[in-house]
Amino acid sequence: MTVFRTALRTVLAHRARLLMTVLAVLLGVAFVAGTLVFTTSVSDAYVASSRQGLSGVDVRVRPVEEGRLLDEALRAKTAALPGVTGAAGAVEGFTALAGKDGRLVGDGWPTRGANPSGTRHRLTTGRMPAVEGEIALDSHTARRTGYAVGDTVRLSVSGPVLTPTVTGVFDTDDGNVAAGGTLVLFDTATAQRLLAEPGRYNQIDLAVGPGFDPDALKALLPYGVEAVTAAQLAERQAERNAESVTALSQVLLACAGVALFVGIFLIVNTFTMLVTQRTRELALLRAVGASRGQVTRSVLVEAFLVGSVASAIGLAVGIGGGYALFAAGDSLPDGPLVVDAATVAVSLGLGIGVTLFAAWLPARRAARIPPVAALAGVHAPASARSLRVRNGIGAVLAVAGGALVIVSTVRADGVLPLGLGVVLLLPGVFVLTPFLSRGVIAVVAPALRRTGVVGGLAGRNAVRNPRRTAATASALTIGLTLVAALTVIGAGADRAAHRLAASDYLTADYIVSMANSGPLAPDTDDILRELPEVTASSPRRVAHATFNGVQREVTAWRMAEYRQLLTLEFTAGGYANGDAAVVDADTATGNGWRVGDTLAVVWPDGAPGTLTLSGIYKGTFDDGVKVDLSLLDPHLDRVSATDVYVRTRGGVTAANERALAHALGDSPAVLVRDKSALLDDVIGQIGIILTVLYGMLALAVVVAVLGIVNTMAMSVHERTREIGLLRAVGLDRAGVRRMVRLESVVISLFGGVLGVGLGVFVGWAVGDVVSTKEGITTWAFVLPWGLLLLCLCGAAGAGVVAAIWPARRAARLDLLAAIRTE
Amino acid sequence: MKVVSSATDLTKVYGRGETRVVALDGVSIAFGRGEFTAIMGPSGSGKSTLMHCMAGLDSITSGSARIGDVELAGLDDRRLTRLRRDRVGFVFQAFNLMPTLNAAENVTLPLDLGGRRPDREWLDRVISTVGLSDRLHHRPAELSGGQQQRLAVARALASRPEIIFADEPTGNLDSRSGAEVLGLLREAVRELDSTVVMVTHDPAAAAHADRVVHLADGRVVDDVRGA
Repeated sequence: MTVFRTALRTVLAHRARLLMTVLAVLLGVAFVAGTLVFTTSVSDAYVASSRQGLSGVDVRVRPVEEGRLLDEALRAKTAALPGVTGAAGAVEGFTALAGKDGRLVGDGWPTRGANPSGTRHRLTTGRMPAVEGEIALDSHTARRTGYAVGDTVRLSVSGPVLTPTVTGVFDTDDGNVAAGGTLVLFDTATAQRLLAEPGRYNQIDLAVGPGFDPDALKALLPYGVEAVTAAQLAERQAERNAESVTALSQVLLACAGVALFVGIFLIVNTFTMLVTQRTRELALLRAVGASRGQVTRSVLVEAFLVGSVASAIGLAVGIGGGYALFAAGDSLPDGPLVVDAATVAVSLGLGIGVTLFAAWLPARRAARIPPVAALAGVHAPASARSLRVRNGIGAVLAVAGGALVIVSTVRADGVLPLGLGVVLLLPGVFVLTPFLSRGVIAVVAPALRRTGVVGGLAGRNAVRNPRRTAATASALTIGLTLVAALTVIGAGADRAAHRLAASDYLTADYIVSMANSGPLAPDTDDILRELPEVTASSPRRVAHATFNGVQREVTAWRMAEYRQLLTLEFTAGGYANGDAAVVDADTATGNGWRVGDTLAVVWPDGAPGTLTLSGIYKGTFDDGVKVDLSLLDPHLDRVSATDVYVRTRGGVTAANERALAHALGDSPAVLVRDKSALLDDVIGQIGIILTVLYGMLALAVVVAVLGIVNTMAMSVHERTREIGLLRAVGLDRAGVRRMVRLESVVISLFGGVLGVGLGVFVGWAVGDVVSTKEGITTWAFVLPWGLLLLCLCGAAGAGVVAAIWPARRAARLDLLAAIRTE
Repeated sequence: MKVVSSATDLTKVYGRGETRVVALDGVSIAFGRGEFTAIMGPSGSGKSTLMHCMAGLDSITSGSARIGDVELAGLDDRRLTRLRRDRVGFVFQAFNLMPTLNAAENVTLPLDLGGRRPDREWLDRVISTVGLSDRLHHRPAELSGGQQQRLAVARALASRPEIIFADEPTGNLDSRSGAEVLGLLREAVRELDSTVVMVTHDPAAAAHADRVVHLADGRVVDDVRGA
């Protein structure tokens, strides 16, 4: 207990100096806790909304693969089974509803259309739609848009814009609606025509009573159709919804992990300094009989206290943040805030664990203080030998890692050596940073000295404690390595996309698709082909077929016109009419297929068939087995495509684009894009991903800046007398501030240069390895100078910002007290 | 004799109310050019405070302190700093030198801070006077205590200040090194025509001075000019 009480007093006595440590741990823990609270709350809410959405459904009959349809005959047969009390055919699909402002309501994917169901849709006003041209709206959407019974609305399913009248408003437990989507109900016949096919359904919902025999139902079901109980369904739906949240939470947790890792450097610095400052005190403890273990434990207990306080506050902040995120997300289902034991345990455990882990080394160092140090009052600086060992280890790791990374780029599949190389290289460089700091800062020292004696002092101060400088700079290095690597990869992807666009792979002028990337109206291609402007067109039809027991993606095209739409560079054979297929070189080699081979195939509807391999083409990005539409279409229930490729007379012109859009009813749900618009979208997506990742990495950079603040505050504290002397012999306050600021900038820039250098190297290797593996032939290594320079400026800026508070403290030091300090 | 530093009715009060301490109680004193003065007195007599106030290291509660014709009371921090840098030299009891700078850099520190070009000839003379010509590229940690204090004297002399304030310059030295430093200050006054004010509680150190001022309870109680 004494240990605990002494530790508590020590912590309280040094609370100002522990502030940055607490903040760093707090931030990391808050991020972890917030992510976990958000994820668990969302998952639970999804489960609840899935359950509600299935009220009145006991068993659902549906196709295994989305896109297939069930017919009325099957519904009638299931309805006739003993024990079945109700069999409702349900139709459902993407339906874009325009608000009063003409814009799409909702975020695209949860905007649905369906046919009415007695159990799931409860009318509140009006009546259900009975004929074409009538719809009902869910009450949430009605409230949001201001539509009421009698209003005419604009909507689009997959073809031209429709203008039906609202006949009713209903309540629903539908998960999509709970998640912020819209639901439009059509009468069943219209829904079938618009969303499926006349007389066919997406699924059949059964209500069953006593006497129901699941096996009898199974016996009725054709190939590719399954029966799922409501419980299984709810589970699967929740799982699917949770997956999207899981992906987000993994990114968030990874970023929190990086931030906590960065925090370790800060904590190590803090505890090292605390131990150094208390050398005499600890030596005295040893002199009066404390064992090494007791000294180590006393430091660890301090770390435990600091970690606990920081983690507890972080947990509270994280719960608040997670709740705010959950409450603010209007595309998420409503539900209670869930803070489970795992969240609390993981958050506190991580925070305290990281603090203890980081304090362990300084604690060991504390135990090695000899009792005589109590008398001498001096502590031996880190011996050259220990740095030599450290440099040796670092050099071996860094060189081995670097070599592996380089090797990975010359191999066909270099993912493993690349991963291993990076895992060795980064720690190797971090171990080497004290050594590197001297070298790199020595290079800039002359420039600093030229700025005057203050610059010279700042440069020398920066390398006075190489370990601390290294740890401080490393924190920034980690963040900037990731940022620079991402930037290089992003620039490479950008260049690859541009080169792809400039290449002649795509000879089509326009690509028509849905705003939600869903299936286009089946007649889209026919409508377009009637236009005088269109010289060639083809839907890109995608399905899965089985070859030798392996399911593969098959794309079907109007092969007679493919030359006008895409360039396939054949390395062997070519396209032939009939039951011919062409395949990319990689797939052909992987399967040992040769031109002239006959391939056995099982089509999506289960029918067997054969294809003759007539050609092998050089892969680009849309690879795989390609066949003619006439071969695939007979095996599809619903003939649809997500894209239609179009070649127009005169190429890309505004008039052509208008003609295409007009032919398709000027629907807001249909996109007509030329190659450059398509490219802009791809590049825009890369940009969004990068922005999100940069945002996440900002946390690590913030912690790194806290680390610099911490180090500078320590340095100012330790150099109180020097600053007092400088002030006495003629350095004014502005000069003191400049000195601290310059030192901070030197350390930050060192971290920045190291990070950008490592990042460029890693980014180059990752881009090279991934593009080789994925066959992205247009990949090129690009050095985005502007952005990298911006990273360095950011690092320097971080140094300036981090120095504000320590510099002000240094300038305000009472110079007499500074001179007098013992 | 020209007066280089003077105080008139100089008062310094620390704290307020119950913790109010009068450190200097209306001190009036003047130091003339080429004079080596020792200020003596028991602990708490205000001798260090007098030096700090007259050297522009500490603020004045009331009265006046001047360096040359410049009134220190009312100068802002930046002007005070410039004044110390250009016109005053300092030798402290301990911690006189920047550990990151070598001996030569420490000597020229005030000049470098002011962006002034050192007078080579003067500098060589000062350095040879303190006897550290062969130690110029050593760091302070590589010098003995006596060498460090001699280096501090050289630093104080380097900018040819109007006055040098020394605060217990021999307090941390053995008697031989102490005698060397005192000899150096004496020599600076005699050979280089400097003015030195030294705070000390050691009568042996004071014996090197031309004039000994005794302080007690913040007042001058004795002012003796020796031979």
